[in-house]
Amino acid sequence: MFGKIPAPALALVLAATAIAKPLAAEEGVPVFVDRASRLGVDFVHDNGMTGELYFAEHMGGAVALLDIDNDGDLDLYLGQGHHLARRGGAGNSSDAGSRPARDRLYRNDLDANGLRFTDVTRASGLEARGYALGVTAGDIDNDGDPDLYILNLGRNELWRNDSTPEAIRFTDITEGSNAAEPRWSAAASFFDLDADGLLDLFVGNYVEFRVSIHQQCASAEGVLDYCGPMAYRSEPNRVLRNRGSGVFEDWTARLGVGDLKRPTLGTVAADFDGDGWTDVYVANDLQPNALLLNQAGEGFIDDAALAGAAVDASGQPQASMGVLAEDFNGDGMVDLFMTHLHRETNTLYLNQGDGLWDDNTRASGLGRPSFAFTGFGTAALDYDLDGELDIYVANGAVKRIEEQFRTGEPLPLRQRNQLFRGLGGGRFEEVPAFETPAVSEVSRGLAAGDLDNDGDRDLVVANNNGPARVLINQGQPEPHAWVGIDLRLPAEDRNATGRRALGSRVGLLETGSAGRNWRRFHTDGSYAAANDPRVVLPARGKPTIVIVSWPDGELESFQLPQPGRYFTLVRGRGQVPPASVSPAP
Amino acid sequence: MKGSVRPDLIVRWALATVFIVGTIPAHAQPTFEPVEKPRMDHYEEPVQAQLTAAQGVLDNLLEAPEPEPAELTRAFGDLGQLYLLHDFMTPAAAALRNAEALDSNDPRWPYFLAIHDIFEGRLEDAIAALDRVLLLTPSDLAARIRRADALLDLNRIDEAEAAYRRILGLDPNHSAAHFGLGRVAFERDDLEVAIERFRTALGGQPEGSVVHHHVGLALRRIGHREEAADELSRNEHVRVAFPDPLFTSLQRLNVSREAYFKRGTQAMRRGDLQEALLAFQGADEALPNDSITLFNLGMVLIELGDKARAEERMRSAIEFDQDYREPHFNLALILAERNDLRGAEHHFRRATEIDPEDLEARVRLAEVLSRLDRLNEAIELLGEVLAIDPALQMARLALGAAHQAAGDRDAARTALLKVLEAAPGAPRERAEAHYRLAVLADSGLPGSPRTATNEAATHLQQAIDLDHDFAEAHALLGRELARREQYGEAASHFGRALARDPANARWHGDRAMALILGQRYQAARGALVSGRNALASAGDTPTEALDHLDTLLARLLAASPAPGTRNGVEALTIAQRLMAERPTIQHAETLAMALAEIGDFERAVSMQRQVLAEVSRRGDEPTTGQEQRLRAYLNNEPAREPWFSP
Repeated sequence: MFGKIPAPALALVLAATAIAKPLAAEEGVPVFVDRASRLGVDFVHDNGMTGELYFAEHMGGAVALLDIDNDGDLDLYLGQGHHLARRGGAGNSSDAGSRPARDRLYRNDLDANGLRFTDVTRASGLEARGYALGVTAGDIDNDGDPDLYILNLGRNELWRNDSTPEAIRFTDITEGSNAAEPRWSAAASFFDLDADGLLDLFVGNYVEFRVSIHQQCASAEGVLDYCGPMAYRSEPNRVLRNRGSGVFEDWTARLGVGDLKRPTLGTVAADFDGDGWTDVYVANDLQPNALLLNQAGEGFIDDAALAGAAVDASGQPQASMGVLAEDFNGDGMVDLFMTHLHRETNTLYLNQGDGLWDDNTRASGLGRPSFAFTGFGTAALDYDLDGELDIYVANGAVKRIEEQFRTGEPLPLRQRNQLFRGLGGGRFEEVPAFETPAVSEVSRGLAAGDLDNDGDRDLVVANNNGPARVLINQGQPEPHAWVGIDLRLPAEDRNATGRRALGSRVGLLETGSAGRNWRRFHTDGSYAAANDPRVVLPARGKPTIVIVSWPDGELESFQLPQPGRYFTLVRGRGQVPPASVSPAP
Repeated sequence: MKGSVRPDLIVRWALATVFIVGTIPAHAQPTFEPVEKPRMDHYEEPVQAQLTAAQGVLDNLLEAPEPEPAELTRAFGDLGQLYLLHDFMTPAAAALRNAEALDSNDPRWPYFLAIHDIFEGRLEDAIAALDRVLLLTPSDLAARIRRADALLDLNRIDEAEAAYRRILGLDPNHSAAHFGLGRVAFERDDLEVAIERFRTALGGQPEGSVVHHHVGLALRRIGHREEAADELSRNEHVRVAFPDPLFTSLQRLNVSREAYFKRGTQAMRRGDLQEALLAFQGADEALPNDSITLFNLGMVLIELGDKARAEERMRSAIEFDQDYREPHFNLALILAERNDLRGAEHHFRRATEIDPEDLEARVRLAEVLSRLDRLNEAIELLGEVLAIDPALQMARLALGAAHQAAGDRDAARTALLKVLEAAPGAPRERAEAHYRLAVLADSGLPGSPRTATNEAATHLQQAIDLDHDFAEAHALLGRELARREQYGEAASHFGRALARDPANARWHGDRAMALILGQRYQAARGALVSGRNALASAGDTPTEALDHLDTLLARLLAASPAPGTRNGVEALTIAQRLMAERPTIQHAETLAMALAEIGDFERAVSMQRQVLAEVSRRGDEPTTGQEQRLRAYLNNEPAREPWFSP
């Protein structure tokens, strides 16, 4: 039995269970090792650069981790670039050249022999040949499997997942879907705007760039360099309401979002104000960010300025790229983390409750180490299963790095990535020498997920104009140390698989524990990426009780028989939580 | 050749370790750090020349057997500054350290090293360098502020507070120090003190709008949400500045086009158009015949209202880059404004050829085609645009206007109503749609049936509700209200329209007439005088518009029913000037009114008879008013009519 629980009436203690596990890096063992080539992922991104320094060239690198065939392991999508047509050339609507390469799809063949990927692009029918700059995944037709929305320079593509257990298959349903957004889209989030049971789509658009209007920008000394967003007009975001059957309608103007023309690079959907309606946080490049509070599906109000989440502590807008929404200080409220430009800091906004955020970067330890880097993709993960969220940041400059330029590098934007270990209370420290090989690349998209289902999060880094990296977490969690959660809504047919309950939150329930740790169940956030929505929580080797806050705020608890594996929890199949329990705000 | 890399041109060059002999005492012979020469082959010529010259000076000195230490110091320092300016951080630091090693009494070198460290995020090093500066020049407030800010950024709150207080001891009105102390108080959650400090900082530097953000955050934390929201909305992201002569001198060294560009765009943002003009002219000199520079010059000139020169610059930009969309688009806007519709059509069309996805250019092109009476083409083009982006409301608005011009009121109405369906978003477009629907309903004007004008008034009110500053809607509603003899409200709406566009001569006249018809003669007189002044200061007001206001004013002064408003001598002065400049029937009649008001009925009669004769000569019938006024003058009575319209 389960029922609706009036959220404010209860008091919950969710456990922050510390599992003693030495830091791999501290023992001289890297936390992550790149196994891309060994695992069969031979993808190399081609940004198509010709020396013209087209703005979009150095922004691409899209990656999605999603269980396409519902076999319980994560498959891999990687977005490709290609030559862009020169001005006056025969470019089509996206300025694409004549022979674009295609995006790639890898099936995860995880079995008792280990992890292995197989390129199934051709067989899958995924003929995506746009200039990919991002991707998001969501089940638009409630058939239980994730569909793909590919963000391109030019027309976006909507691919319906028609896979069976026997074969991966995608169908292009862009035409007629009203989702073929023609602008440069950089980020998107699937969420249920109006609580009608269908996933709607928020599309974050960047700037009005096309090869035909390419501008030449220069560095301070007059050397040609990539332009920044101010060189082009910002584009408005879009909200597409799902009407079912793969058809969307544009509700942008209706919801009052049309006037927000800022260059968006990151979006994340979550219920930030705890009213049971999913809101959207929009990370903009060099302009104030937006916190769009959902007015019961009838409109959005941008509350970022008053909330204290529009600009940094100094009052300046930053060049926001990747974005995360998680509870970083364990107080039960959703915080925000954003990656930024070189000579800005990455920024952590802690949720103070009552709709207010504070920029806590200085005290967090995340600021100064990021000063010298330009961050794009980012992931929140508890890599060492100590109960504290850690943060990985994929870096890569956007302006020429003199030392690399001097040595003749064709894309002198390389930077190393960073891993920050959560210390609790919203404080972090950088982890040295955490990955092998220790590379310095132009990283962009970053997706997190448990590729080998061993209970710790792995990462896939989508590099611009370079090979994708599949970073396998070298931790070896004990079976008693973790529990994995997949959340589903009930399907109309009780025997069918329902869609994933994106926008939910889940935490461990342990009476008497001191902390409260919620994890969000989502695919969005980061930059140009779709993540594994599943949540991994630390456990203590005994029957575990988890509590789920579904997207509308209703609570439900589930008792899991034993740790060390993933459980699929379906709404309505668990228990209402005990009366001493309340959700996080 | 744009942006490609030529490894063969990579230059790696380092200064050899040099021992200075001669004028430098042997025991003080320093070992210089090697200073790499950055690759410069792609730099603009002025930058290359500047850097090459500075490197050359240093090379020569290092090759000299006995270099003067002062010269060597200056050479290292100058080169270090240039490298710092151009972001060559490693050689910049090396050169500056060498300069400081040679002359540790010159505060410039540690100061620039501190700038370098701040850029690199090495705040502890920056503080150490600034400490060396302050040993030499304890009163250097820029160094003190940078040091205090670094301490605060390092969370060394107590030390930061002491540093800010020391600055206020030297300059009690230092806004940046007050701002810093406010931030210190905020960190300690001493919010009342923080707000007081922030407000002191704002008092000294109101343009530092970022302080509003901090006030807002403090108010928010106290719980004053409405006040906080107001303060936060006033943050335009302008930092609190402080005098920083060394840093300013560093920036001024930059002779690249990009540096001028930066100055220009910053000046544009703060509304300093003259500074922007100078900066872009500097960019033009640094890199002549550059289409982007010319375009930006054109944009500044548009903002300055110098459309003629703006047009020249846009044309030049196109000359050097025929496929550059922006100047085509903006040139077309200029041409459309001055009714060169063929030219506008050509350049909008070029913009759409260059960028077929520029839907705004297509809509503008359609608007020009409508004005050229090629309505079918316009409607077809707008249909294409809407097929691509059905949510583009400006296209629907233009479509409505095109249908209206084609006489298809139903189609126009349909297009405009579709804009309204975009509720509740797009308030500006919806306001515009309401306005155009009002025009559509009211297009018959005096002959419009009452239902139509009611509908027009409703639409206009809705337009104003959506956009309180919608001047045209206010003016049109003013006219509608005047027609309903609601003169007070009409005058109020004309006033609100004029608040947005003080140089609109017609609205000044309309407002004055509404006041006159509402028998508020004194207010009308004031409105006419202030309107006349506003138009005169606007500079480019057509003569006819000024004539219109002058005529109204002269007639009001001559024939107002309210004695306190009349002033025959002033009326006569204006009327005589008008008559001398343009001897028209209207001006002659005004002169007759003024003459009658000062009691010179003989000349008034003569002038009025000339008016009637001229009317007759033209084959027209005199108006009742003209004949009545002649009879009045013949009876030694001045004109006293409730109607003053020329």
